[in-house]
Amino acid sequence: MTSFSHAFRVMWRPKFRSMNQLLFFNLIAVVITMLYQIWQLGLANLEMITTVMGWGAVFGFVAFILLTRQNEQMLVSDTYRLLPTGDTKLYLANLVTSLVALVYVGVVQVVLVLIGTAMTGKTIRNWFQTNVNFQMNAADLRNLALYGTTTVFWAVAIVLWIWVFVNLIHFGTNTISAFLPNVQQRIVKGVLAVILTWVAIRFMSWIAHLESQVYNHFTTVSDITLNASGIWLDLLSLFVAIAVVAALNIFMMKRWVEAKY
Amino acid sequence: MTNALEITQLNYRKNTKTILTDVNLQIAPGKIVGLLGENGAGKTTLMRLIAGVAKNAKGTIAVHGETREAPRRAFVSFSEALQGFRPADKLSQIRDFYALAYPDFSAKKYLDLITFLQIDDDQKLSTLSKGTREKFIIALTLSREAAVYLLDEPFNGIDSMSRKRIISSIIQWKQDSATMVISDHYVSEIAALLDEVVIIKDHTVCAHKSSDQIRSEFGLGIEAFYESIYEGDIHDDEL
Amino acid sequence: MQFDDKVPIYYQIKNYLYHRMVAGELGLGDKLPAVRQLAVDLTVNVNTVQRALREMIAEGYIAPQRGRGNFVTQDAAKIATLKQQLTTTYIQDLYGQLHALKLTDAEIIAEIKAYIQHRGDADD
Repeated sequence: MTSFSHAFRVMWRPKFRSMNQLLFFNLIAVVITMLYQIWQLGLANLEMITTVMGWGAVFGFVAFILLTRQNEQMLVSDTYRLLPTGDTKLYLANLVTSLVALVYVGVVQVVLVLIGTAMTGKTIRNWFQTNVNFQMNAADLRNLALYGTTTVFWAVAIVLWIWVFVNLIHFGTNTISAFLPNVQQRIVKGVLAVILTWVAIRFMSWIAHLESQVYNHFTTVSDITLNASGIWLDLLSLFVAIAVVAALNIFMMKRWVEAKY
Repeated sequence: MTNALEITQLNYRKNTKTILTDVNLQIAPGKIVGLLGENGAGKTTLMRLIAGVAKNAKGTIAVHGETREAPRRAFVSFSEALQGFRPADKLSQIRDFYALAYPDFSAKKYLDLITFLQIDDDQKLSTLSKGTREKFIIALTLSREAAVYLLDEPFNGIDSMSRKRIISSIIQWKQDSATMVISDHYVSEIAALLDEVVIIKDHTVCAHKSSDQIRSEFGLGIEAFYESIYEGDIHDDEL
Repeated sequence: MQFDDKVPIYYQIKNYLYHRMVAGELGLGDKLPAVRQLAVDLTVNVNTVQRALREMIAEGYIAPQRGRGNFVTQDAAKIATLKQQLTTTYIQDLYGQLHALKLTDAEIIAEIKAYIQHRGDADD
């Protein structure tokens, strides 16, 4: 029987490959934009950071969508369900590889920004000065680091939450169809769709709210008082929710959810 | 001696429909067994249950004495339809997946098999004809050194040359101790290959006989035996 | 080789090997192909070939040598007896069928002679 690290490697490879394909197009987009800028503004005024971040946001989103899809498909294809791994390990390896693949895309973006900074050291300072209040002392820097970490944790939690939630919808309807005859199935699925839409809308507005909060903290970093405990508590409860939903998904996977064939 | 496969009182329903009822089956190690039945009789489902990918069945399935799902999968090599791969994937990438995923995958056996079956693994999955795709699936399935092989309709809709090559590769590369179950609804071309025949009808195993028993006791060919069971010429009490 | 699906395959494999021995294609003391090779050549299951060989070993037509494979018996008398048995079987069969057609014994012998004569002419 295979270990978690083994399952991880098996599931990692296709995701890594598709992320690399995506990053290849990302790089092409960046290079073409830069060439266009050089042609328009001249080499002296070349500013890489906006380009990289702009395309980074676009391709980061595409990466997220692709991984959401792959995350779903792997769990319902015989190719992966036949692996001599327990369903728990398989589910977790799938989730973790998706996350690592997304982080990988993020890290590449950061590296690109760093390259951009190295090319034009002045620009990054200008960028920060225009976009962020840059009069920081040591305490502010610590706050900035703290909020940076919080933001990363939040991002991870939100991504994981979306993935386990999509799994939940999928597995839930799958499980229901295993038990109910067609007519009742349709009714239950209809009701479920309404509830889930409502939950999804609430979740989106909550994230929007959260995002503006975090952004406010970030841009006015010098004059905030560090009242982060509320955010950390929310974060903790979100992680607990993720764990519960994941456990539920694994349970359904063990008992009812089969691959499509 | 532990049976390669031992199924006891297996019941399975899907979407509130009965697929299999009270299936009992014992298969000794080393046998090649034909799993026969109409389309939709439950052959694929039975294989998927043995392979541990169909869920929520009642009863027990033991492969070499192992009843737990995940360790059981390690013993079983199932001819999976490559549904987890993308059309643009190269065959060699799929081989890499198998080599990584299954500790019992033999690179040498794989090479021997694709050479014998005349498959160029530098191609993309999407360019394969139905026959080549099926041959490739067989090559991957047999490349594992598993205790039980499950081949789900490997001869469905492929030309006779490919069929002959697949049959020869089965004879040549199945280890003596390994058990193989081949499902089909058209049996004459593999009749000479089968040690035993299992016939599925009315959601259950209605006959399990050795090929020689069928030939000497009933004086029938396997195909004729199968047909007469389906047409009701042989009754349950005669089996 | 084509098999009759109504007759046990191991039995047909034995017959096939008997014929080859009697015809001298497999001579006294000759090594038989490996079991798996025979199975591939005949497109049959390895287990079936093994069963056929096991029975032929028990009957004394094949002598296994540890680690070296299977060999045709060195006993010429045994093969001669086998040849006689096969001949008798075929003649019984032929005689039975011609007899059923109400041919007399003299007619049967005449027909066989005529056939051989005709065949000989055709060959020339």
